[in-house]
Amino acid sequence: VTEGKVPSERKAGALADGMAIERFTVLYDDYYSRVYAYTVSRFGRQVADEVVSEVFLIAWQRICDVPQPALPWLLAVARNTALSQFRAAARQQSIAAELANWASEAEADVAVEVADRLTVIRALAALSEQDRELLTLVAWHGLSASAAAQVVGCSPAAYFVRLHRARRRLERALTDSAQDTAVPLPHSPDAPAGILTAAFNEGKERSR
Amino acid sequence: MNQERGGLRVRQPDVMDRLAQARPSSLDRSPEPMRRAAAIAAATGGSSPRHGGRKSAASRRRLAVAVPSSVALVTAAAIAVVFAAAPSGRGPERPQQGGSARATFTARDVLLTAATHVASAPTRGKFWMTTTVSGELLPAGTKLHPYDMFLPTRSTQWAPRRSGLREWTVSRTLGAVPATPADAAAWRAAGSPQSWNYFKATFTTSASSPTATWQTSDGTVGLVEGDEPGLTPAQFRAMPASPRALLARLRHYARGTWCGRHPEAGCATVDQLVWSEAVNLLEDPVASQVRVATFKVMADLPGVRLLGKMRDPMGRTGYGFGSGPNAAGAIAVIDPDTGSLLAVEGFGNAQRIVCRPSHERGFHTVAKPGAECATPVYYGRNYPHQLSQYQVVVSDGWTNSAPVLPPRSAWIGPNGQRG
Repeated sequence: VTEGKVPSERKAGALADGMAIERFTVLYDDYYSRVYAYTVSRFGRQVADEVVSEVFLIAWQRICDVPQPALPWLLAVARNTALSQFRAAARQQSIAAELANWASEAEADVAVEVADRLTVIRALAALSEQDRELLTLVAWHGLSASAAAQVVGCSPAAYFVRLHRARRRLERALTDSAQDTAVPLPHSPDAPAGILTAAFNEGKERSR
Repeated sequence: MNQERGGLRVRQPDVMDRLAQARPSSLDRSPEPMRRAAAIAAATGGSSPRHGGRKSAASRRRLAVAVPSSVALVTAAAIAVVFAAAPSGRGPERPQQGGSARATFTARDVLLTAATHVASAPTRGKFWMTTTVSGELLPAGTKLHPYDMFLPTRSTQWAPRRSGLREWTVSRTLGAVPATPADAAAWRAAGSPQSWNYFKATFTTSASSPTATWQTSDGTVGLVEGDEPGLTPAQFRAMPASPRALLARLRHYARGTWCGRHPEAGCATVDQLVWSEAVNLLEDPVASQVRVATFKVMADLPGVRLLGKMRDPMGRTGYGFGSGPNAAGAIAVIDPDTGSLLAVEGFGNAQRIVCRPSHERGFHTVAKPGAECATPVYYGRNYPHQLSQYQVVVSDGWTNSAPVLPPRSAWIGPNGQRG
């Protein structure tokens, strides 16, 4: 112990708090956008703001435990928070509205090179929640398969298997979507009944 | 880009590439300055980070007065409710009305009164001794039947005048109590549990035996926010005793705080930060003239509001003050008759974090004892009208008496070692 050099715990605590604030701020600035993007794509923007702010509250509470790299951890917290705090019906309605938004966005986009977008979005909408998540974590949010596995809480090996299957289902849905037969447009009158589709159409109506 | 053309399958770009191309641009949103400031303030202002899972010793830090809990997203509305919904015997009371005439005194009046009643106190001694009681709100119960407990901790610190000597803190928890009558009902319905776990610690409804923590002093005996390592007795003695010079000094400290260095975050005005520094100074070993000057500086600060006569958590009567429209997060209770700071109380914004053991479907407010909380799940509410933390100043002053310590087996050294 060097005499006079050891800061007392009280002051060290104060210093550590200052550092913690800096660290938190950096974390927020680095990852806010990515956490938001994931949360919107997974759960829809109706719930995203609430979920994302809770993610960062938790990150602050546990600032010393946030691992490096932080992104998979943050996304996992977002996922757990949304799944535990919002009823299934609320989540489905939020994501259905979100899917409808994407379809409108793709439709409104006149650029030739993005004509494929609507096809892809429709195909994506036809997939299960789980498949969408597996695919977009990699394709939209830039996670490696092992990081994505951390987010959904499975082993990388299991993730690869699931991703492979999801990919095949997306390919199949893309074919259907391009042929515009099996997958009805969101506003199609012959849309199959069901909570997702109903909410999807509802969201579509609202987004217009 | 048709899938089929003339019956021949055209080679498509990889499906993952097509998916990547279709990423909606509406997913992107950069944090707006306001949202960012609010988020950072809400997170860092509401609660302390937990260092390495260890519960922060309640005695070690002062409650932030304006920085940054004043920016907790609880606004002036909360103050109004403090008046309306104050639980009996604890919350603020309406200003007393003298005789038939309605009391018309202002924040300035009360603070100037305090300035005239500052008692002179010894300015020398071997130890700067402070005794405080800090309270914090802790979640307990289960997901279905949650309730909150208030945990008070009493601490006495002996900070030696000279560096190199041992600085001692003797603290004990005083036993947790249900935070509100509603919490008390929920606690009783749960069988009045005498202890519960939260993160890695066990809390009980009975007082603990004291522990004595020591470390080698660096010579500092108190702190100002902008000078985090603290100041030495000599530095406190050199604090200016004229209000004008003191204000300049406090402004200097205020600008050294995180909020002061990041005005773009909008977490507090310079006046609010100065108020916070001034409240801090009331707990520091300054000469009585400096304390007088401190009250005068506080009296002339814009935006300071008198919240009325109130009792502190120990039942002592004083007047509550907030600084600025956003100060609902913290109230300083000052006794004008003795010219002293009684307590700083934080309202609202307590967060509840619960752990969900991944192998179970149910929720628990506790991690398994000794187990890391693998999946922290936040749920619950804010408590905009409710006391969430406080720090009461029981006494402070210079003393020549040696620290009163518990048995050696209850000593904890700077590296966590016993003895």
